Amino acid sequence: MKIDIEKLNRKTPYPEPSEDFFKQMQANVISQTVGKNPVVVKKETKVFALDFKWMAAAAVILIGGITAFLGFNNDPEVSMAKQSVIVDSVYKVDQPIQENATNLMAENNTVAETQTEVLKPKVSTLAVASHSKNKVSADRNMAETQSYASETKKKSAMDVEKVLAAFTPDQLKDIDRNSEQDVYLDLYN
Amino acid sequence: MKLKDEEIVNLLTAPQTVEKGLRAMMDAYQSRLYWHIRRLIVDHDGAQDVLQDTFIKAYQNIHQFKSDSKLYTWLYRIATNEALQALNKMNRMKKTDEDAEYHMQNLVADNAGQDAEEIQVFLQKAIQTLPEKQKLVFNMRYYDDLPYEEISKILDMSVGTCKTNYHYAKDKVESYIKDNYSQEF
Repeated sequence: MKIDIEKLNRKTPYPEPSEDFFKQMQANVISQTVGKNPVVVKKETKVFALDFKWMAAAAVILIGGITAFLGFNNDPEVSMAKQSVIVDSVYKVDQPIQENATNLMAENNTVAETQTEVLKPKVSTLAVASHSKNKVSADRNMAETQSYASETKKKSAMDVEKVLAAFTPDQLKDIDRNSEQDVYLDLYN
Repeated sequence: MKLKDEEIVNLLTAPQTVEKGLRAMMDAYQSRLYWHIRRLIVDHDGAQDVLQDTFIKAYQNIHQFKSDSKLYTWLYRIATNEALQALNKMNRMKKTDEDAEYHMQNLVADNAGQDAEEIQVFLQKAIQTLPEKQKLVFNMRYYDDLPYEEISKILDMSVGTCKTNYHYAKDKVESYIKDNYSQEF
């Protein structure tokens, strides 16, 4: 028997794959290729040319800005005065923080006078010293009411007077008895 | 609408259209490549794996494709290499070449459709007895009707060698069918 394969129907004996086969195959291929590495489209960023003029202008503005920022409100007296209010307020619990300079003076004088009367004659050295100091400081305060230094001195003196006033005469006697006289005060007297 | 090879390659090489290009390439060649692979591997699932790998390899190496050759020639080459690799893996399990040949013939019988003609089953069994190169040339020439020039490019051999291989293969196949088909009937 002579067989000529050229005359045969050129079919393969295997059945056709299902309709979904190629779809599934394509999905698998896509998931393993494009799906695995999604395409990232890069955005083009704008490039600004740096001109010397613009750089110089920017530098000047920057330096000016920094100088203005650092130099602003840099007056030492003002800043000290601001600080003093906070520091003094610690000691003046029962009084308003800011007081009129003239009121302070008046108050100071009256307290000082009462103190001198109370303390006479036993603490006369102290009273006289404080009184003389108060007088000097009062004069100065009149001239320079805004001066921080004089204000604090006056306040501290006033505080001392107040503390002394809080003591009863008997307590003061005890203190006087137990305390030694200040040699430096004597020197100045 | 089927796109030309050049359009498919252009789509594949542009990052924004790569998926479109991949789908166009698969739509154009999936059927032809499937049957080429199936005739070599025989098993459907094995053929599916090889076909997938073929398209994945094509996607990964599209930059190596030279536009002076045809896309389907390039794809056939990839598919053939992948199929041969898969066959070698399968045949490594077998002790001898006869065992491997016997295994493939059984596979043909198992995978043949119920409505398949006996002579076609015998033809496939006969092809499984051929050496590798003759098998490849015979399949591409007989079933895919590829010109010898294309076959020579796919298999990297001369046109004359391809012709010789085909004629040897044809004689062997006819002789196998004559011996075995006439015995059964």
